[in-house]
Amino acid sequence: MIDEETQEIFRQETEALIESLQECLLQLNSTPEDMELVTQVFRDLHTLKGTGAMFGFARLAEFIHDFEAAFEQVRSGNAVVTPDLIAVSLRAYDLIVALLEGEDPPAEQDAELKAALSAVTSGGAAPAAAGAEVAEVAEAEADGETEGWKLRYKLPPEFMEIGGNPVAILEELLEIGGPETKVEAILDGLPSLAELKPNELHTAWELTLPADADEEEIRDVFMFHEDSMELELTAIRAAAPAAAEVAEVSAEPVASADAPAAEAPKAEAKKPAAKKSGSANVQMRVSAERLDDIMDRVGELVIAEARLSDLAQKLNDPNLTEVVEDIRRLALGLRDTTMAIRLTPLSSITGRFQRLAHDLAGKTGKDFDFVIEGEETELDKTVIEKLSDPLVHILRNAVDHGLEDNDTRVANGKPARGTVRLKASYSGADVLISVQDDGKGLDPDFILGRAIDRGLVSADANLSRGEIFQLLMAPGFSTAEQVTDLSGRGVGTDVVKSTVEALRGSVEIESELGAGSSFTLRLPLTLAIIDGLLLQVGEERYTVPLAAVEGIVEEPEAIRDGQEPTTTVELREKLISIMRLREIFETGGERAEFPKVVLVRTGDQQIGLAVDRIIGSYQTVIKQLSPMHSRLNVFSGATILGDGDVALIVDVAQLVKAQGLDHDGKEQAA
Amino acid sequence: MTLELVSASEDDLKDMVAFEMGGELLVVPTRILREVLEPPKLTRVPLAGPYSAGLINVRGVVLPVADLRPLFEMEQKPFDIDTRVLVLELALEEGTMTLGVIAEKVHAVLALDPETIQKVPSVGTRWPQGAIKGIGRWKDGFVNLIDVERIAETYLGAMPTDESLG
Repeated sequence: MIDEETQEIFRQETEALIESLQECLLQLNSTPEDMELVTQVFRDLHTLKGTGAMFGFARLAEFIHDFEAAFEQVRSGNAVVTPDLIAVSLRAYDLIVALLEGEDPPAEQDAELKAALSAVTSGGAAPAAAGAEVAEVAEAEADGETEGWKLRYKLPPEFMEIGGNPVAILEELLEIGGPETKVEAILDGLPSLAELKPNELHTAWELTLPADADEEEIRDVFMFHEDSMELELTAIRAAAPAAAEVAEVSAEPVASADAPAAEAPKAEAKKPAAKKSGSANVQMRVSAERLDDIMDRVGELVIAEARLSDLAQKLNDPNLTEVVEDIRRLALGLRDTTMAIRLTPLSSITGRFQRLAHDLAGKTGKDFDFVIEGEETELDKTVIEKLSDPLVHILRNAVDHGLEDNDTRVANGKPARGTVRLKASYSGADVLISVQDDGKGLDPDFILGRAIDRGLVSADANLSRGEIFQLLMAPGFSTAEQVTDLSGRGVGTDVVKSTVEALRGSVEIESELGAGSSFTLRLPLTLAIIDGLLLQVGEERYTVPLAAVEGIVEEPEAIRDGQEPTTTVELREKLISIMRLREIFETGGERAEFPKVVLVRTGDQQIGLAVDRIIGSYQTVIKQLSPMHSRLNVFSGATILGDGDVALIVDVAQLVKAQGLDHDGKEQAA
Repeated sequence: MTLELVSASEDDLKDMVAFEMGGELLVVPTRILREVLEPPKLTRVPLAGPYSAGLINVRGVVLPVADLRPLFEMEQKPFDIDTRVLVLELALEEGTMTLGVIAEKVHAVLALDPETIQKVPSVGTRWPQGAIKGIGRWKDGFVNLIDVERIAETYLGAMPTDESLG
């Protein structure tokens, strides 16, 4: 049996492969002729098989071998991609995942799937082969990035003496390159006849291989001779004018490839090209722990730099200031780079959403398009991983409750096929991820009625539209008319809200009755560093996340002398709850002459924090609190200030809750 | 009983650091002592209860500091020239926790004779349940072997229990 550690390493190694495999399979479903995708599937399977065998997963390797064979049939034009093949492949994929997870599914399943795979790829596909070939060529031409491979190699002179066979090498290369491969022998290195020894090899070869030849496969041919031979493998770039473009386009390598095929299906077509350029980058695996370590140190560096800046400002020595500015630039650069390392594109998890959409369509019988936009948007790895479950939940809801069935849609004058859109984008220091559907939308009156029934709000509550939609995420609220297999299983939308809030994000809901709804998760780019607003209360200093701050006003005279922890006041013609931090935190100390109120947003509520002084905005490196203080909740962490002091970071949402000013609290008060 | 109580930490007994609080002499093994600090600037944590003295910055790391005097029902003497913070590394069930503890005065590193260690009488002492492993003799007086791990878990909320909420 394989020990757990091996299993874990293997699982990590294969994670990306598995995601890619599933994605390609799902894309093949919509573009069955895309040979590039077939090749990608084949490659993924091939690598999985190899890694599996290496780690001792015999059953897995054996099963994938047959899976791979099925796709070899497609690749070589003997079979075509059919919905049946995709369906079986997805089941085979599930089995692979199960095996990878260390489960032990019944062995008959392997055999049954193997049989099914060979059945769907063997039956009379020959006529389609020609078409597939054409597609392949077209695909290769459309790929502006590489037009092929130029391989030049010279084996060591003693190659034949040690038992090598140059002809076998050529044959192997021909197999990889296929019939389009051109071979030329280079005889420059050949000595004169007198010096020529028959058992020494002096010939070099130059080959031109088509673009679909796999670089790694080519290199693998020479695996055992690499050290002693000359090997040059270069990609042949597109013609001269395009080559000039390369530098400019490098950030977005897809653009040039995309242009000629502008009318072709958009998102799907981009995928393989992007993947190819991605694999050209040299990648390195680093343990998350080390990254956290670096992040910690960079955090400290940023703090030390802030102290140095403070000091330099006081000393006012131009020479010092110059050095300090240099160090500042370097420290901030280092911080950004380090943060970037931790960032992962959303695309690392979108595969499972595509699968989910595919399965949901099957289960609900609702036909819809699932569109993903902005999956290159990057977020902190920890955030991405925690987002998966909430997004699955929202997607399920969108399909299950949002979309009407196709007949109803037609009756309401909408296109029969619904659309569910997963969209990610940047917004300042935040990332927005939204799930939009063009379904029936949310009915505020219905939601409010339900909430009143459930005792979540009082009957005379005067709530805004946004506040009503937020009720959807209150614990104990579920509008599912009946519990289905898909949603309404108890894990409610309140979990979405709490997960997102734990990541210091928020959920915004918009909807128009009859036109659709959108759930938007607003998340910070990173968890480690935020912009904070430093406040003084009495003699103490506190930080609140700047992102939550909506304004600062003078504290109204009317409430200046009050002693209660909370009060309400009319500000800008709106009634606002005020939390007096001085009273809540029992800070003591002198009151400022002109105290301030910081207006902060939490969820859909605006709250005022009464403080003595605003010190300014600071880069805040968040330090987790020890177990001794973390149970307090009202502080999300601590940070070290420029002068070396520690300041607490106020978790406004939790403080609001603790003071009973949130919606639940209102209800209790009513 | 006496031996059973301390046998596991007999090595520790040879190397204890003694400090003073509320007129009592307390000892912890030097094994868990990371460093002794002059009292740095403490950042108070509001709402954290009487045993939390606040947070300190030790070379870029934020550490919690506990004040055990209210727990031992001792008077809280203001900080003076002798006040120190002992930085202890505790092996708790939940993992290690680095904790500062306020000491009114740090005395010396000393070795205790295991033979002199006695169990604490269960009634009639100031020590809360489980806070003290035993009482030993040193020179002419007594030293109290405090169980910081147990205190952290039971009273400082490192492991939430009903007691710590009280």
